[in-house]
Amino acid sequence: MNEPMPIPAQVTLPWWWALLLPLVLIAAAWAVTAFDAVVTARTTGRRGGFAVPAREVARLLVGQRRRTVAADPVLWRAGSAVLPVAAVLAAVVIPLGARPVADLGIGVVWFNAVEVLAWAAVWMAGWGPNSVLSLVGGYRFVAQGLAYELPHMFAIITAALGAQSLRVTDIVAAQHDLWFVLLMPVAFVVFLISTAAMAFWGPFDAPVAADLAGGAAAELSGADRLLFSGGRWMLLTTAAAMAVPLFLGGGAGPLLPEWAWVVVKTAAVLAVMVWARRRVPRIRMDRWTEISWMVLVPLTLAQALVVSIVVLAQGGL
Amino acid sequence: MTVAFWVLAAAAVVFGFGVFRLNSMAQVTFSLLASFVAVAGLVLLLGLSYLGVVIVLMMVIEMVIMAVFMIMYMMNPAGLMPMAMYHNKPGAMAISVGTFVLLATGILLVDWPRRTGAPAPDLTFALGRSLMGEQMLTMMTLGITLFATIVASVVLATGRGRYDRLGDDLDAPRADDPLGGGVGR
Amino acid sequence: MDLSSWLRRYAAGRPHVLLVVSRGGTGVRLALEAELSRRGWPIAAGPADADVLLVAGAPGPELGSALDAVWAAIPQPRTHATILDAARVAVELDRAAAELVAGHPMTGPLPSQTTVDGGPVRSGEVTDRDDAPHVHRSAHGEHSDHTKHAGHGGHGEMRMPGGLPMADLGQDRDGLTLDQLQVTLGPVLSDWPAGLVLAVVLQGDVVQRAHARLVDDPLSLPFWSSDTPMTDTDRGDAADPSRHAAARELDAIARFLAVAGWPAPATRARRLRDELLAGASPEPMCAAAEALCRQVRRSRTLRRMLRGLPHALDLLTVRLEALGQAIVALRGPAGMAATPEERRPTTVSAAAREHAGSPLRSRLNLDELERLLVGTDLATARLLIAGADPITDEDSDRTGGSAPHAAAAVPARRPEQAVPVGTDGRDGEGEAPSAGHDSRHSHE
Repeated sequence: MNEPMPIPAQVTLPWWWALLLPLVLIAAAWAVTAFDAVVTARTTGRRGGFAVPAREVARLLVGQRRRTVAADPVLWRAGSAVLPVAAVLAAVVIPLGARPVADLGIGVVWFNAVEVLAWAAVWMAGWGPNSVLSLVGGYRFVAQGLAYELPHMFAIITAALGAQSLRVTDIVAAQHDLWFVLLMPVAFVVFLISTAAMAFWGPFDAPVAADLAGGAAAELSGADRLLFSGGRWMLLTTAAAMAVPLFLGGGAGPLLPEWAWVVVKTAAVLAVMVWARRRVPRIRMDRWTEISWMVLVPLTLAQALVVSIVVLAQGGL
Repeated sequence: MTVAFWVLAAAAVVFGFGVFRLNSMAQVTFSLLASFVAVAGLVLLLGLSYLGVVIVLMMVIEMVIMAVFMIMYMMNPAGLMPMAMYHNKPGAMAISVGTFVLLATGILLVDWPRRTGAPAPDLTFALGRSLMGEQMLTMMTLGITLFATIVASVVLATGRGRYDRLGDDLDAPRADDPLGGGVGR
Repeated sequence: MDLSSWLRRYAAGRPHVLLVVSRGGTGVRLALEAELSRRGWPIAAGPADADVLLVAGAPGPELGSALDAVWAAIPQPRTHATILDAARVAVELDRAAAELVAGHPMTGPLPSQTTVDGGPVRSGEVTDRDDAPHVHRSAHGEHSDHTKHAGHGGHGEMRMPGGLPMADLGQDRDGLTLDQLQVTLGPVLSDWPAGLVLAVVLQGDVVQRAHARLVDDPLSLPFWSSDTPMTDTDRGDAADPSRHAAARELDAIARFLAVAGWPAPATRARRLRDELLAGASPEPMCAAAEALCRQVRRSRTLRRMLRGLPHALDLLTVRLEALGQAIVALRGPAGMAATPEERRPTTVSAAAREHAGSPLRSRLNLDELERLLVGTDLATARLLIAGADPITDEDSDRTGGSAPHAAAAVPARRPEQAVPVGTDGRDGEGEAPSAGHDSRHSHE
């Protein structure tokens, strides 16, 4: 392919979707929280749990904000606030149906660059309050970032390689015949793993673990905690939604409209995440870093090699 | 567009200046990061979307790691004590302001050539072709050299090399590490 | 009704509870955990995330002062309750929720103080609390860590930000010469032995020295001890010692799993424990507990995470075997006959059955625990403490006997664990740990 693909007209959603996107994301994160709460309630033999996100938001809204001695309030508050912002910014390139809010030519790089902000954010939130346990939590996330980021990048790039484009809508279009989850299963699995690590979710929640009394979030209360944990849920939702255009064929599917398929597939990915959190004990970074670098990076590289051979064999590039 | 340019330009300068004004290592690091992000915004304004976004991506990672290392190696405990981020204040100020003035006058005074030809329709693609097509040999050499430098400096810097960990003949069944890694060698 | 009081009322339906257990408060803790799980009220990991401070059992003077500091760290609207009797758990929880709705400011939870209604909080008041220095430098556990830079040595006279002294440098495991931080862990931490205070010297998150001690002497008899008659009448036939022992082991394994970050089986173990104490029929409980053991034993991820950590896997094995033996004892001779093909031969040996009634032997005492912790990182230290499950509700400060196989699992001292400083928990006891704890007095 010597000429870049022509840019089709009308590929993005109308501009006012940019205003709607945060609300969509909040609603999605809300639903995930409620789902997780319902599952949690069931494991303890109760019913319900649907009201949990609402009650949490209410209690954090009326809650007092915390202050500590010799804190770094600028970085501390910024750390909490950056998480939801990063989640929304990352979501602009995800097609909600056929079209994203912004169809950037470098969509996957944008996604990756914005979600990396979470890395800085958690460290800042851990650093800010001048508290040992939260600082340890912040450093745990830096170590986690070093472990997950390379496999994560390779997984994303493999999808871009398969489509020969960094544009997310092109990647969706390239899966017209074959979903990338079948062409590059390793990249898909690695993407899911690294996504959980990036959103410090499930087995990768060591940075905010209870053994550190909440880790990076240990000193957050009130609105700051709302931003931090809400941002974390939004980040998880966004990253799970990104798996749909990258590996699961975007909005492709019978009967239902495209947006409905995106919702269904995102929900399925999130369900896997919620399930995995219960299935697997916490993974500590002193262990995982070596696994990540010695196992996952070579695996993703091999996957990329296979995909590029397939692309060449099909007469690409 | 013009507004965005001035806002980003002002932000880049202000945050850059903050690196000298602030007195906490963590804040300085993230001030520098904010400055870089503003510069990335300027690059985006130029239409070089890939370069702009990659600046953000790399700078966030770099700055977080830099903060960790700065704080780790600083005598001053964990960067908590207020401290100046530079030495030889007048000299540093003179050099940085001088450089800024020099570059700014240069930019303003140079008679920039008019553009001949049009930009490629996909700049990212053009950039990739340029780097990996004509400049392939340069890039490969550069990459290998950089990589070798990184490996060599780690080898030189580490207190415990492979001979410490695996014995003189490198035949220890498992490395002598304080904690084993996850692969379990 | 204005918006914020409506929000407060709504949020009070699911408050987060910070659970503080005094030595001797184990019985109340169990009742509380069961009731909280029934209501779906989450247990907070730290004060910043809590709305209700619940004290299980009567706090002594030292725990009381720690509670004061914890109380100061809990954001408004907040309330507290001290529960001395397991029968009053539900009543007190209802009262706490009602107080959260009312939004009255409360005084601290010290037993000497009484609740004073100072009028309702101005609605919507979400202000920053002023920070009395002692709040952040006291001994109450995770929040004494504002002594991130509290050190000892020649820097005490320097004025530092927040009035905190400078940390000392020291050699460390990885040769990084990081700051030595004096941190006090406990007595208020989730999944933490009641009343345990662990003064550690940290470099990075690696424990260089550790000194364990217990706050305040317990006022009541130890809950788990099998020869203590149960005073709590609404716990069914919990007085049955074998049932009691099994519940205790389930409690210990649940704590270990919770610290290891595996909430689902931890929750299951706690449910089994509660049902067992509530008098459920033993046989299905035994089967479920064995299934739990199998699941934990089979988890490759857990093993991979623990393998290579000093003693962590051994302690998990000790916990699982203790649970297995307790199950065997609970089944009794009939159960033994019913399951002739026991999966693990160790649990069916006659010796094991003989020991099944004495829960002490699978627990480490504080001296052993201190030795274990030196050279581990915080996550590992938490795991080891949960696995060692030291007995903290008995009178003597250094309780707990070492079991034959627990002692075998934990050699007295591994030479490679010794830190370059040359001091481990025992040697350093004289200066640093006590300084870490008492620093709040000298720096105020």
